[in-house]
Amino acid sequence: MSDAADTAGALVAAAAAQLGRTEFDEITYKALGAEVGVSERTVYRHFPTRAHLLVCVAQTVESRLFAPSAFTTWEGLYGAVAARFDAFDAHPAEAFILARSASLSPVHTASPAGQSHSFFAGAVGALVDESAPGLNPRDRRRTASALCYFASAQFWVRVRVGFDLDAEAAMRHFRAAAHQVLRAVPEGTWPHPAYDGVVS
Amino acid sequence: MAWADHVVFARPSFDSVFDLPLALRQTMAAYSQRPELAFLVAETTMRGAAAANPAPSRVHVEQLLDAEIPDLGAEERERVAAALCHLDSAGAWAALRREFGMAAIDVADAAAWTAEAVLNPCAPGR
Repeated sequence: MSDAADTAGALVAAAAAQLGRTEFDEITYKALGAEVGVSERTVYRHFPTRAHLLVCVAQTVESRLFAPSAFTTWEGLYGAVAARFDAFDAHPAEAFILARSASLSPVHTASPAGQSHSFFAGAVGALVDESAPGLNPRDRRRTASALCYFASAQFWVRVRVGFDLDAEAAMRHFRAAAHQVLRAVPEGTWPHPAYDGVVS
Repeated sequence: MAWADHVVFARPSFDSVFDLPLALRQTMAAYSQRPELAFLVAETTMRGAAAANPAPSRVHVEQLLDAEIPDLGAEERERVAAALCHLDSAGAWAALRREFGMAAIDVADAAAWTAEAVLNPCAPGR
């Protein structure tokens, strides 16, 4: 790994380590540089805006704390979402960073939870394809996007801050929303075994 | 940024919760016309307890639910309100644009379709 990559990685790790103790917006480039042993100017060279830093910190916390487990079944999906919501409750400062990063105007070619074909979106899309091979492209996209959006860190933030709810309640509401979304697809699209498993 | 969501992206008025899907189409179209501001609004509502209110339409939605579906149970009321507030947001627009690379018309369509799905069990005659 190059020195530049080492420095960027060290800066991101230093910023991520401060979450929970310090608000992200209060982490200064000067202090971050001092902690890693580089100048403030060097920090700016790696992260021209705070959005660049936020996205990289989000990538780090997602891989370290919130990486979704692989799933190929509907119960697997629900298990993965429940585990993520529980992890968000356990690490709220980091979860807020993930939600913010996914809401930003893209600043990198690779960003977590908000990039086309993220791991989670790809797995949900594959599950929809397998369960409902007859679904037309528009309904497929609407179904998959709705499931992903209700499973997101943004949903967890909205119900936590806007409704004062915990991960367990967020999960109940995710399941109910997913149930309604799956019932909304055209009649006869789902093969019966999958349909029964999904919406019963 | 709350002012931007109120002023720049002012919601069309609606007197029935069942009109929200149609209103959502207009709201999403407005976000698509000012994408950089929409991303900013989306991000500021995700900043935690000190952030802009992430569910500014909650009071209005709950008032409509109470008026139109008074026998809705507390859990169901909370579920519907949370889902609709989640959809009626710049965050929904940002997620659909980024995660699925949707064009403006598809974002509006997906948001409205999902809101209809959420409201479906509450619809009159169901």
